[in-house]
Amino acid sequence: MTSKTAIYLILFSFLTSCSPTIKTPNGFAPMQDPPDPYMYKAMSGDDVVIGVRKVSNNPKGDLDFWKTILPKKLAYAKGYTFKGQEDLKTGGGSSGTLFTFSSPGSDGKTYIYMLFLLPDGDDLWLIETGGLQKSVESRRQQILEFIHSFEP
Amino acid sequence: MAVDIHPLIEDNPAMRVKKIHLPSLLFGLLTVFLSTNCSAQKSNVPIQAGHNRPMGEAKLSAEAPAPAPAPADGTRQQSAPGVLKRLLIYEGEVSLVVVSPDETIDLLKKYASKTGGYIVYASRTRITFRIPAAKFRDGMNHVRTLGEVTDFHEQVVDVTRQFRDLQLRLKSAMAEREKLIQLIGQAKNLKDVLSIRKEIRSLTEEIERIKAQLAEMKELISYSTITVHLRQRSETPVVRPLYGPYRWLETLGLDVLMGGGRQ
Repeated sequence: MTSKTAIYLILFSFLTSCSPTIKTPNGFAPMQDPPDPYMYKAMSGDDVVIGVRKVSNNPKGDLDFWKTILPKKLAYAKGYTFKGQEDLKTGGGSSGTLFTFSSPGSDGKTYIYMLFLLPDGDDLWLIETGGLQKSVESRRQQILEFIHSFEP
Repeated sequence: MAVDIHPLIEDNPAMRVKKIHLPSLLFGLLTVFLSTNCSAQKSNVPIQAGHNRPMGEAKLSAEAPAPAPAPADGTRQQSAPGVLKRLLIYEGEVSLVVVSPDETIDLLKKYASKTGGYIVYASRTRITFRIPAAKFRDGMNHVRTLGEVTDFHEQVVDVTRQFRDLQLRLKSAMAEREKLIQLIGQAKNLKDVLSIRKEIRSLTEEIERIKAQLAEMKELISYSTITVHLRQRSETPVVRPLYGPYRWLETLGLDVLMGGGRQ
């Protein structure tokens, strides 16, 4: 193996290890240059938005820790109503939890915010989905498939 | 209807053995019954939020009035030989400010049903439901995630002594009634028969009352009661700051996600 090949291999493995596997769901359009803090963002024609980002797992909690604290903190900080949570697995077998909240918009309509949280060592992967309640509910299956296809 | 019982007594040798002074006998029986008819007592033991406690029943040493520490999973404890079971009634009350009271009521109804409980009362602003006592802690935690908690209260009522007293009263009353039933055959006149029957009727009513109280108490011990008061949020949610390591959670939510991120 030449040194050039070795460098390519190292670079390739580095790049593939940093980028999660993301498959844009049907009916969604990914943004070319997603705004900070998102590394991926896509939206549907009925204004359902999906965003993916990675944050530091601070405080460093496991899934059970976040399942307990997150609904309370978001209800407190954002005034959201916690509607429920369910444990999901990605296609690669990584375990996370999908939290669902509702919130009234300034237009008087109810909006849904869904957050899939997946601990990954020192990091947390976050898949956020938001939109009008009716739109999010109609696209629920696509959102679940997106989460299933995701792999850190 | 008048019944002449003298011929019956005369014909029955067993009834001629001994003459009984009925008023004295009734007075004696009544005294025995009343002496076991202890006044019911109950003690309220407030519990701290966030602490796990044994649900429904717990171990209680005869000398130790304090509640036994709860298992971490909130399950019931088995009573060891020589240790009385403590019987506890759990009650909780939470006041919430929510976006949609109707939606929250629906969520709570589903939760009660899912956990094997049932609805006692529901209106647009208040719901009372009962869930198995072992799930009381989870239930209270769940309710508190459904909105902004403005007030909450929990209490555990120790009814061990009250329950035991009722059981003793029931046993005593039933034994009493049994004796009176046997005495009817020994009554020497109609007046005595009527007097005994009056006492039997009174005891029967007392037995039914005690049975009903015991059944109600068992229900309250098996199922904890949670009442939730709801108030609709009058405006869009108030955003509050988070401090320390949780501060990054402020970046979650619809405003950042749908507003184009933090640019």
